[in-house]
Amino acid sequence: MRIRVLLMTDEQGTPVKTDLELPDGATAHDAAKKLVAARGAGFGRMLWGDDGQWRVIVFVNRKDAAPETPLRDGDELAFLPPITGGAG
Amino acid sequence: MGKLLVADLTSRKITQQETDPKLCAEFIGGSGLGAALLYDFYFGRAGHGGGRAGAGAGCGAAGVPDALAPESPLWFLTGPLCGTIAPTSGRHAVVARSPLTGIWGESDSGGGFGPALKKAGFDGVCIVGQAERPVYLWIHDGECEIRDAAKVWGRDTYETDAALRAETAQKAVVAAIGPAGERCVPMAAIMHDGRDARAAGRCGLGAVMGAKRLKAIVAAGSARVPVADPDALRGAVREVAKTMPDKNPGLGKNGTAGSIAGIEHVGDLPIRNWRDGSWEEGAASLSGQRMTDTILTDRYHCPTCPLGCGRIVRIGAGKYAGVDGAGPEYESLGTLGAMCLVDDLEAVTYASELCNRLGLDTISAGAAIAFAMEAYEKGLLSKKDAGCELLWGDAAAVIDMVGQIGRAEGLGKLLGQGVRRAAAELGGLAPEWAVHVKGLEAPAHDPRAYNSVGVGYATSNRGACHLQGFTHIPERGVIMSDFGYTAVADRFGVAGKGKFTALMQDAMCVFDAAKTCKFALTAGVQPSTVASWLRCVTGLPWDYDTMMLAGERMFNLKRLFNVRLGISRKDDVLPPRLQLHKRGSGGAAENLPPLEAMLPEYYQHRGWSEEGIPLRERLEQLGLAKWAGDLPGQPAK
Repeated sequence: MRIRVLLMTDEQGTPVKTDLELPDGATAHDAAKKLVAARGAGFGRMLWGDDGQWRVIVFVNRKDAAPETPLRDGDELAFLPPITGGAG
Repeated sequence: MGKLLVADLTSRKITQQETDPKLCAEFIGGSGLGAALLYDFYFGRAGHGGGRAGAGAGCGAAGVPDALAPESPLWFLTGPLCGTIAPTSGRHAVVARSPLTGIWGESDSGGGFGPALKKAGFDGVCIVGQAERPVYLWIHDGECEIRDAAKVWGRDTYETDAALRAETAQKAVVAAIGPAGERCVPMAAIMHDGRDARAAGRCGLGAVMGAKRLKAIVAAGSARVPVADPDALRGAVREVAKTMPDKNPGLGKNGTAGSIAGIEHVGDLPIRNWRDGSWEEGAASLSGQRMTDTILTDRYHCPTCPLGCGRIVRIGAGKYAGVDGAGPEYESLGTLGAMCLVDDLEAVTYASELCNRLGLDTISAGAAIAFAMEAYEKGLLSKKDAGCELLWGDAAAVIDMVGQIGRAEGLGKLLGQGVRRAAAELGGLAPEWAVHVKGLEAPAHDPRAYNSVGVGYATSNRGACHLQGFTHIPERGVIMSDFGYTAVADRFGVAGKGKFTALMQDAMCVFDAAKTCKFALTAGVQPSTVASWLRCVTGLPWDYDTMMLAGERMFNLKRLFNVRLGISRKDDVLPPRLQLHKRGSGGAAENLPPLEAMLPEYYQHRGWSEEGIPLRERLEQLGLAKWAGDLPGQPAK
């Protein structure tokens, strides 16, 4: 299956979308592992850090999801870092 | 503790007093101490009958001096951490009765003013009275002078900063109002640090300065800030400060606006006056990443901040050439941009700088313009009223209206009063799309995306505010381990949201009192971390429990202030657009915050009556019974 991934982790410049081929039954975690294999360990640290804890929140089709969420063909997967936003 | 300065501009008398150590042990400093000082002024420390409201005054605003009355005080307050090496502690609070909302008003700013005031020898400065002619205060090395400000009256905040530092000391830090404050526009901000533009934006406290004919306060000094145990503080700070940037690298790299695309994705970004659900391309156009790639020239760190979310930008050519200084942060892009459907980053940057120069709160200004655009679309405003067409996405219209609001001209005179008053004046259905709570315009976070934000907006003591509860941060990935949480909560959940919001409000009261930036939470700092810093600095036995109790005490005293002014359950509501209308698309398409289900849990946790009045039993536990006096709504003895 083919999914679309929205990357907004700190490595990126302007948020980008990229397509990803995955086997049927793959999860968001599987997609993350494939991205890390392609982009390197630095990208992996942005997703789950050295301690193995996930540092990003997972969304599938703009709905709250989890690393173990199964994906379907055509899904849009997003990994979002914790948010900020100011003004006193 | 140090000293407090009181400047009476009517009599031109300046006095100094020792900061009360007992009050500091109960209310820490910053806006917590400010709540105690302001409550004492208006209502008396023994509760109803002792203050300026006068004996016999009941609940309600009658008999209470108006926010802009000469006798109403305006406090600038540092906190115990301010001026020390504690990370992100270079902040100060400004508190007064708000001219925008009529209730408790507080605003908070980063930048160098707090540390400068502290190093000048003062924990805070109170201004009362009204000068005959425009003046500024020059506070330095334990002294204060009232100086003539005729030369800078009418000038913008950037010009004022340069002129007053030239007249006093280049190293001095200036807190100034612009033309908006001079004209007492109720959404006027107090700006600091000149072109670096650190804002005490919310609640219109710039108008209070203007009403006193106080153009600026300039501070400088070199006194050492007292720390009870410097070695212990160094030890407590060292490891935390080192790891903070790594825990949130995005904040320094792309600023607060680096999250705008993610915020849009989850349905948290208000679009077209809170009517649309998604705006993916627009958010990408306004993103902090785009800013980094185009107009960013440098990053700004407040004193002792290892994160550096501030932006320095320059636009050298084109329609918006000349912008040179602080770049817009997320809230400004959300309100002046997304709420008005303007996706031109340079245009929004220009509008944001115009707000900074005129001394306007970008949140309230952008929200008021979006409100006006909807009124224009629906026929309640005309081109003749506005002086221009108020079309969605029209950057020129946004810039024009910022100018009108800041100079209190044309339609801007009405919009500058805030959307609550503007809607009442326009009539018809306008209140349906006036998005505020208790008169304060909602910032750029949507309660339909986080139920806890709904509770937070409804109950925040200054009106619709994302910072007083700050719950959207833990609900998007920051785990509040201090509260016993081990995972991120379901943002659309109901059970537990009332208690969670109250806990966050109490913790944020402490951040606002100690003077710690809330973004530290995104970089590994928990409330107990702040308690450890407070312990080292004050020598008092602060720990998580005593600190959270102090936070609850502060929150409740601010609530008592508002109850005295007539606030109760009837005011703890959300505006119709956020309560009744779904976004329809995007990451929060179907959710409406179930306030009726969440508020009882919140009141129960707080120990408040079903009318939202703090009850005596809890007030006694908090040491506030004597402050409350004969508060209404108590059970019969």
